[in-house]
Amino acid sequence: MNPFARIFFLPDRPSEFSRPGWIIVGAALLLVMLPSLLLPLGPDQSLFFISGQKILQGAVHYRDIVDVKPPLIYHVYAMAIALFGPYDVGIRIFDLLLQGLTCWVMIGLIRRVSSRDTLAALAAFCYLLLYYAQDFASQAQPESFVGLGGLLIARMILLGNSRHRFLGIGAICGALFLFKFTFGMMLPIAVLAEWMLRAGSLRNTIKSALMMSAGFIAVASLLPLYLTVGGAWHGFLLVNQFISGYSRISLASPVQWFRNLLEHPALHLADNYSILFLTASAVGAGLSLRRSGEREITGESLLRFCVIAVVLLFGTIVIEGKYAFYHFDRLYPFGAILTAFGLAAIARLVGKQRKNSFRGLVMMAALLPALLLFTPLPRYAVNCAVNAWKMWRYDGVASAVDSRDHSEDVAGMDVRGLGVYLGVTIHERGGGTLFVASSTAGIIYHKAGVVPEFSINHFAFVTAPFAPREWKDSTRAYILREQPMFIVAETTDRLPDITGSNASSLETLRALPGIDSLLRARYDTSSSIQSTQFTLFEQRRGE
Amino acid sequence: MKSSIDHITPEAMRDSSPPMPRFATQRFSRRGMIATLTICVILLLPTLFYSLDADISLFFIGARKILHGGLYYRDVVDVKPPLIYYIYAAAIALFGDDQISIRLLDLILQSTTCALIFALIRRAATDDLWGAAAAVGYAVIYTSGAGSGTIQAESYLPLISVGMLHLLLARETIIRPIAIGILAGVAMLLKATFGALLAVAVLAEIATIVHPWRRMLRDTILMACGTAFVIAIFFLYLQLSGTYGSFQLVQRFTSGYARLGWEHPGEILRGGTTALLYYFGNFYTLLMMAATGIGIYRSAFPAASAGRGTQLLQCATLGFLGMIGTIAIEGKFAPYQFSRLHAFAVVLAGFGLVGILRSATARHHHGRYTRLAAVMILPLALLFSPLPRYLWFAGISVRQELANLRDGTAEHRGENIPTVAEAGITGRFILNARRDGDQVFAAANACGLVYYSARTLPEHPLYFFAAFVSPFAPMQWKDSIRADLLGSPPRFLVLQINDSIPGVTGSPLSSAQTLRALPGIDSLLNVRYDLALRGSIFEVYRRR
Repeated sequence: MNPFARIFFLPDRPSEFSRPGWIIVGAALLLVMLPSLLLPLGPDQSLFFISGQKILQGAVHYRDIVDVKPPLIYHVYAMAIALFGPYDVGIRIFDLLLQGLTCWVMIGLIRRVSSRDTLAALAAFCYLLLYYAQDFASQAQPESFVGLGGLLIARMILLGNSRHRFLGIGAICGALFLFKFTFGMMLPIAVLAEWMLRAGSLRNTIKSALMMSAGFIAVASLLPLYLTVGGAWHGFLLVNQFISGYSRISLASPVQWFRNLLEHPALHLADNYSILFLTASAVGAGLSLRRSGEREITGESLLRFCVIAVVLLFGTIVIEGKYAFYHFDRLYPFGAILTAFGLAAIARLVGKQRKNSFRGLVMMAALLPALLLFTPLPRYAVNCAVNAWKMWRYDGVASAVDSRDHSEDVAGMDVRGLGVYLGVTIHERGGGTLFVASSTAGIIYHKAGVVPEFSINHFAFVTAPFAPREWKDSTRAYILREQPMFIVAETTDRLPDITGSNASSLETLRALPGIDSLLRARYDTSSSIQSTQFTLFEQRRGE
Repeated sequence: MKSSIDHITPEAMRDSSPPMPRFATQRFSRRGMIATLTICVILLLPTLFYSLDADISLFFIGARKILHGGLYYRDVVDVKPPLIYYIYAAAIALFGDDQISIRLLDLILQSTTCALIFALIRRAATDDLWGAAAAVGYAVIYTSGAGSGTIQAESYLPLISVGMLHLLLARETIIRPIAIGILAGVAMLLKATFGALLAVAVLAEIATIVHPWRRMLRDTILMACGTAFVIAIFFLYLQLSGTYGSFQLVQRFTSGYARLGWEHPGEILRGGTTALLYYFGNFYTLLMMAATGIGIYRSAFPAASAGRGTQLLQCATLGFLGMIGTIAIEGKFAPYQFSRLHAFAVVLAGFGLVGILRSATARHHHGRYTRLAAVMILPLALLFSPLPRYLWFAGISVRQELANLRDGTAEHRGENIPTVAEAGITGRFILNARRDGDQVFAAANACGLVYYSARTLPEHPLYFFAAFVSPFAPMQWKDSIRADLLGSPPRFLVLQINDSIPGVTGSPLSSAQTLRALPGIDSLLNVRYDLALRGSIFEVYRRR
């Protein structure tokens, strides 16, 4: 069997599930994923989306698009748009395929190391439940790719025999690095896992680490190549200047940093990851301590890989110092495996008690509803299934989803309606330019069907005091030069945690030299949109 | 696969196959017990430096009024039963009229709780390490509650709960069920829903102690009699003091207040679940939650050699779940509300923590991975334990207090909290401006803080702020406040402008808006008062 086949094909051993059994499992997993196809794109995904559209028109990231993330996610979105068309559902289909592939690799891996089909199916189910129980804006993020990459690495380390696989492992780490720089942590994870689980000696570990590093460098060096060929070095350096200011915000107050560390991960783990899954993961981590034969690959080996991955990837979240829900996506594939093993152990433990404790069984029956409450199921029901149903019922009006009270819902009801209104108006007038100064600009451009000419989409890049002067100047120059037909400015997006400033986009825009007078002289405030969140400036007719 | 928790038994957990050279089951020497209790007291010491907040300052001022001859329900009107006010009054009577008095009494009561938890487990399971873990865990979690999470009515339920657990495991006598009932009755005087302790006790008897049904029925009746006895004394107090009518008004308010929480059951379920998880994740902490889970598991599936340790775990599980039920019934999910769980929770968590410790240290196979896992997991376990939270709150208050002492501003305690700080400024302003006989009236959620800082006692009855803000508050209360203000206008009127709490009052209005909306008050303010001080939270008006 060639190495590629080794990675993707299932083991040559008797299966617990028959073929129809696997079809049922596949259908069940698909059922969990399907509602997500109806969900809209969130603020971040919309930014990736319009950047993807720009890339398809020949733009180069960092040169024509200003954003902090490395280029790969934008190019992946460009690929998804090219494959499935410029629609929300296209991205959702792509994400569904990605997560389906992740589940496939996960199932194959667990079957190979433990010969337990039920465990494999349970782990995939847990993973999808965790992933889709989040807010709709938390999917199809760079973090969503860690599962596939990480599990492929696990598979290569645990099941591979060829020495060349280390190059492949390094290459995958490099690719993940191009999604988010901190994902480069997968390289130390792979080295540590190889040392712990396979290599045996330090000498062998060093050899494999060197080969992994070579693979990593080979892929990571695509970034400088891309920057050189695309002429995007200058933009890249400006972005890094911004990132250093951005990082200083979270580190400015070590006390606040520590307080955030105390509060947010615990809340996320209890609430999103859920208490039951957390307990099961702890049991799974406990199981990883069981003795296994020297260099023998068993379920414990996989659990050990997962423990190492979860702890070090959690470290990357702490390093980033930002605790949005989607930041924790990177933990889910490994957490789901630990959870599945833990749940199976707990179930077995409970099953064993059945013979001697009727009272215990009654107690468990009473606890079961409470236990379900402490799984991601209720969150999945509300965030994915109910929202998808709302989208279906209200004929795809995304605001139906947005209308609920949710801390992540920065956009509110207005933003999508505003985008659609602008799209229709521009279409009716036979064209016209649009400029959006907002932290949710991506959604407005996306819903308006406009691919922005200007490079800066998220207005935090102008609002932040530490943003390069060049960005502020180019924004001002663009508006004064182009005088777009519509200018939208958000009035409520004060994001001191991101920008280090308490100014809204509108206040920042007006503070740019010459803009306030331009708005007064050439624009009317449109009364077509009744919004407390946005001000729409419309160029006077005949100007 | 055998789980790491599979071999833990509550009876000293000594059935693990590998030998346990460290942390084995043992009885502590007298010195060990003293050391454990000393650690608990030391861990509780930072509570002395916590400040009052809006709720507990009201208890403090109410207690002052009681000590000045006031009667609860007549001169002090709050939705809570009277016991918490009398605890505060006892503190002031014992240790003087300063906020430290209640903190001192609290330190004594909470230390007693720790000692009783330790003694309870020692008696039930002969495992002092479990007892020490539970007692220390209680001290850490209680202190981690910070200023607003301590000295609440809920803070004293653990003491009663531990007493009840002692009685549940005690020798069979006729007094035992009556005493349990009395304790449940006393708990009801802290908060009516704490009467659920009676149900917990009855269930515990049925579920954990095997008796003939006649005996169970007798015990249940005796428990109910004990509770009825306390309730009868309470009603006697109401009749003798002539406050029964006021009590009925409070009940009318309480029914509206209770309905408020349950107007949208879906929201309660969603908000309640989120709040529960927030509490368990953030306050109680994940490590303690996992350890509690182990305790609950062992109570549901006892080992073959089950004894009184298992009985204790089962009682604690029932108490833990029962108290969560009372929080759900109340439909209010502030973190301090969860203090009522703590006695039961730490018994379960202590068992789980010791089990984890023994499982981790009893292994013979300390391979490369085990060592690495220990290095990686230990910081995470510490991060998700109550320790960082404890160090955070205890550290802040101790540092603040030391700074105050250094600067000679001891009366500024807790003024790193904005409301406490502005109440302090407001109170000190009034203190400096008032002359003998000048009256102060504060219409504010944080009225207690203002009265405390101004070192004054309101002449009018002391109402909790929802009494005049809530639409469902009895009209008599609003009329009484209005009549008092119009009849004898106080020299200083303090209005809180930012205390709109619809979840508590059922109204979006602040105290200031509501007071001005009472007939005649707005014109009284405009005609007879000048604005003397305006802050971002309080406005002070001075009568011309």
